[in-house]
Amino acid sequence: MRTSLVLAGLLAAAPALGAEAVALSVEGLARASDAVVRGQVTRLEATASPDGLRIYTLVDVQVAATWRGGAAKTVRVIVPGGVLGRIGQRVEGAPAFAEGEEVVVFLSGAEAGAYRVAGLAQGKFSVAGVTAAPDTRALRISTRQVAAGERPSEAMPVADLERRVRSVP
Amino acid sequence: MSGRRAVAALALLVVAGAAWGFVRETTVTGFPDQGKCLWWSTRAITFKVNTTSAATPPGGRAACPDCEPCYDAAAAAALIAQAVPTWSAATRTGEGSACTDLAITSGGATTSTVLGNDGQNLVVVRNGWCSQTTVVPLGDACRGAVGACAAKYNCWEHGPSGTIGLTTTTFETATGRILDSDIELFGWDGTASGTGFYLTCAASPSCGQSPKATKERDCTAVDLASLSLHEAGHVVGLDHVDIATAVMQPIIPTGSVRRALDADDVAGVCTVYPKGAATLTCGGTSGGDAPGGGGCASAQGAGALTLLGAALALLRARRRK
Repeated sequence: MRTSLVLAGLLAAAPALGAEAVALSVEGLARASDAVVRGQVTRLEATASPDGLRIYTLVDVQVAATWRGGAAKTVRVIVPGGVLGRIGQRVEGAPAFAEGEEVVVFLSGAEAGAYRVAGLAQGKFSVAGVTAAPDTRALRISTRQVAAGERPSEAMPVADLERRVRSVP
Repeated sequence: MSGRRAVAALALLVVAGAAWGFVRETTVTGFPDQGKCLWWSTRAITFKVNTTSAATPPGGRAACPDCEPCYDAAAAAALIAQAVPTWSAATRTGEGSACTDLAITSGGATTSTVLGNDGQNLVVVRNGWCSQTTVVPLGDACRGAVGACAAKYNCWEHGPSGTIGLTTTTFETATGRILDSDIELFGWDGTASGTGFYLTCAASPSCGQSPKATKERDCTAVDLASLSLHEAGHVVGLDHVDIATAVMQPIIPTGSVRRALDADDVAGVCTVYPKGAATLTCGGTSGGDAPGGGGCASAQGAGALTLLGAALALLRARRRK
């Protein structure tokens, strides 16, 4: 009995990894984006920078709907980090994509006719059913506050996410 | 519940990945419960610092004295060079010397802007978004290739990310052995509404609400030492934790500093790189296996193992009675 109580106490005292604080709002992300699209990931391909020192993952997204700005039927997104052969590169805060995944992505125009994800991990939502959620586990230090009336980049109904994006002038 | 059952239940919780204590980075970003943990095979890590992006930006960009971190690039470089090796001095409470022999040392200043797998660990301050035409001219050929502009113009290629610092770590996928690790910090571009962050060196007092607009000096906005120390934790191979006082906690309010390691940070670096003992890898590679078979499968730190150890000790004590 005593053992159980002590163990329970030890467990209760153990700190837990909790939710990450969020620094950017959906509205802020939309303002910072050239386009916001909903679509499905159709292809992932790792590539190296011209000097061969950096690895990027090229993500092709088939666009089902454009919520903000203009975008082609398929957009290419550059994500820092990835795996090429026996070498991997990890970039903290970069979003992760999976083939077949349904996503909402905040896009910022970038090099090679492609886009980067505005807000990195905060700017990519994975859609499951009627809910969209960013994976913010890899967030790091950020000091920005979310403005009053705006909603942080967090799990929410897809419809709410779309409404908030479309509400930004 | 019997003692044996309690221990079994606790062990199950630990193995299942109860989330607490320091967390190790793995080969799968954002998923500390997947992949191989990351580790250095050497105990001597050297890094160089480049804080020249504002004063002498490459690629023909105009200099911006007001953009220099701390308004003094040399002072900023010195502070970074001082902050990063803090991990080498990790000392447990009540002990008189460091519990790790991981030696992180500054190799001095550099003008290199190149990140990635070149064997040179770098801390570099960037300025301006690479996507801006005022930073990278529209006709520059680097715009046609992925990842070609950042080094050429020492610019921030991650766009409007709300991110102040990023660490890029190169590793062997089969083992998790780290080959190179670089830190990018995103400095202010000098305009009141511009890009980047107001990087400061002073530990106090806190700057006002709009230091960019007032060009306030000798105050704390985004503390360069705290930021560098946090990023260096990633270089070592540690991930974020939700412990308010830990350096590896991912959020730090503007105007505050966190320049000293927390007990959990110390536990992290000293567990992975214990003084005079083998590096804690994911097992099956040089440096020794993870004690107790813990390794990185559940990405837990010594805390979980210690907890399990405490439970076992309790059970043994019970048996002796």
